[in-house]
Amino acid sequence: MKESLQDAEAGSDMAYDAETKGTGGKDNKKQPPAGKGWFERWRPRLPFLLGGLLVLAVLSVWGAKVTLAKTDSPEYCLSCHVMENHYESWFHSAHHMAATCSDCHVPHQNTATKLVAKGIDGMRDAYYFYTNQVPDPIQLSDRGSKIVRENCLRCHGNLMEEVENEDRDCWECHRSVPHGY
Amino acid sequence: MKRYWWVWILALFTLALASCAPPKAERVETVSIPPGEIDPAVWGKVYPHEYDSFMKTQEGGLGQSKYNGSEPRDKLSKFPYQLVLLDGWGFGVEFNEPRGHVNMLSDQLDIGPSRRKSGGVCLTCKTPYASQLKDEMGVDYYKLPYDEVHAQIPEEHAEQGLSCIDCHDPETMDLEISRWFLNDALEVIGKDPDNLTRQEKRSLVCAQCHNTYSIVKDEDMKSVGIYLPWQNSEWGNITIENIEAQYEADPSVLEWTNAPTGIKLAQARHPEFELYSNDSIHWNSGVSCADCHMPYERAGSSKISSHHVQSPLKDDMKACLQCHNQEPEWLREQVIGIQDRTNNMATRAGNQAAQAAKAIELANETANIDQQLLNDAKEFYKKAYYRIDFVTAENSMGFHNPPEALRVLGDSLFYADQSLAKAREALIKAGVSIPDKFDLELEKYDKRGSNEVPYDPELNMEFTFDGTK
Repeated sequence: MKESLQDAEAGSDMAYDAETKGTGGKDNKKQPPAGKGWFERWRPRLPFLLGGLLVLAVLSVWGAKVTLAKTDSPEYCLSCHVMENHYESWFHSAHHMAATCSDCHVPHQNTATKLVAKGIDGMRDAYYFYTNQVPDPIQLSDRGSKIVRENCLRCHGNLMEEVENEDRDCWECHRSVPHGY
Repeated sequence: MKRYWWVWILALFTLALASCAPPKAERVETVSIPPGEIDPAVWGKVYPHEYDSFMKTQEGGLGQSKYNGSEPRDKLSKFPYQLVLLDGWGFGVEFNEPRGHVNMLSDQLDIGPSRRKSGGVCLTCKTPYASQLKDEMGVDYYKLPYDEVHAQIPEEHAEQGLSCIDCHDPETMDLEISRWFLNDALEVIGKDPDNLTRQEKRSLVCAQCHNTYSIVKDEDMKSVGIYLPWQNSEWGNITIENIEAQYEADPSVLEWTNAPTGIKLAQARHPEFELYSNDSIHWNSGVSCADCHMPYERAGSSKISSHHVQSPLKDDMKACLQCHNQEPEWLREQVIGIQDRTNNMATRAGNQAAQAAKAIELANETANIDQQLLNDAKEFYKKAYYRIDFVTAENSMGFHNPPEALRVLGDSLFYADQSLAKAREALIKAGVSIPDKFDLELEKYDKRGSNEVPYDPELNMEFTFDGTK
């Protein structure tokens, strides 16, 4: 605090140079000269404000991206240990090469649907987990079944074009695909 | 500080959540595995399904496999050109197709003593005590006679082949590399052995032994070490050319002398990892050794990786069906088709190299031979031999990497041809009349070694598509 006051005093003669010299930001206590508009008053701080906004924007975009990527990884799903058997079974399956948990268990029509569904499911999973209510065995809800089916067809749709598949779930027959636990 | 009341709430909430997390359900362990436990039966008390499937590796048999299986057939009678190519040391005396993991040490004890002549070093991949013995005995471990080093193994494990501890950490059950020379070799090719993914380890624990290794010899031809000749290679690109360059650079790995030609040679042994990891379609698709040889299967109420390690052909292509949705019979036809093509090429190259060996043998005995031509013939022979050896010592008859296997065999046929041409030229120049085709004199390979292994033409599996050789 003391230092910044000293800085402010030292810099008082060149308040208007602050923008180029880059010391004006610490100059909180300084009264701007009378008769200037708000823009002139804020001008010395402008680079810092813009810089701050830029950093914030980068952080939130990058941060969100990292968070999304992290919560999309199978290892994240595995971190609640109730999923260990499902993870193991998937790890040894052929889908291991091509599809992760969220490829099948989160809707993919568009980013908005994906994010909303992921948020809802994630919160619900966390609630059940932390309140120790995870059922054994874990079973797909009706909504969850619909999502997985759509995702099966998202990749295998062409194959199923001419096959009547409305009346049953894929995994009623393909019982061990991709995690037959 | 009053302004930050919400931080406290948040911290308390997080703490509350963390302490609410339900405890992890652990399996009930009736027994524990002591650190360093060798006996698989003790591990089997904790992992009975894995143990049961592991013990099935002693079943053996050819099954639906065509070329290898786990039937200890005489490889030299199967491919008689090998009798000439390997003539001069143990491999040329008794060379059987391998049986399963459980049998690996007892099979080594049963085979003729010529195959254990290199000394204690032969135990490196046959006993789980190898690392321990090497640490205790130093260079004597490699050097001393096999029987002397084998006597150091506790009696109850004198015939103990592969054990769980060769690949697993008893505490965490994580995969772990136990053979020092693989760690060294990984560093040589720029791969950090302490930083491997689980999928990589699912191949590398197999690569501990299913590789081509070189035994280092001193001036008296005593074994003094072992290493993998990967010095000129990198991860995913270990080729026979790179390996050959190492053989040329380090004469101490020239372990034997081929009798007919008198050429000092190195030896590629079962380079499964090298061939497979060099750009093969399955390797590039991220498939590990365990994916095909240890498929995930149901055992009781749970699923395990089968420890009955074997050819997928023998298990009705079950491992293949994990990814390939065709009929097992169709899949098998594809595999056999690839193997027949490889065998066709190996038969051509092998027999041509055997012809070259016979021509060089005759040239060696001829006075006034043109030494330059003879030396050229020998250099070409070496190149041909290393390439034939690289594919035929590998235990998949080309399937682990079909295009690479055929490329290498094609090159070996080229070099064998060159070698034969040079040797014939030298002989003609010296005025020796030579036959169109040299007789391989296979009858002299009947009753080989102290086990008197017969040459059995019935076992012949040489094959070409047009029937000529």
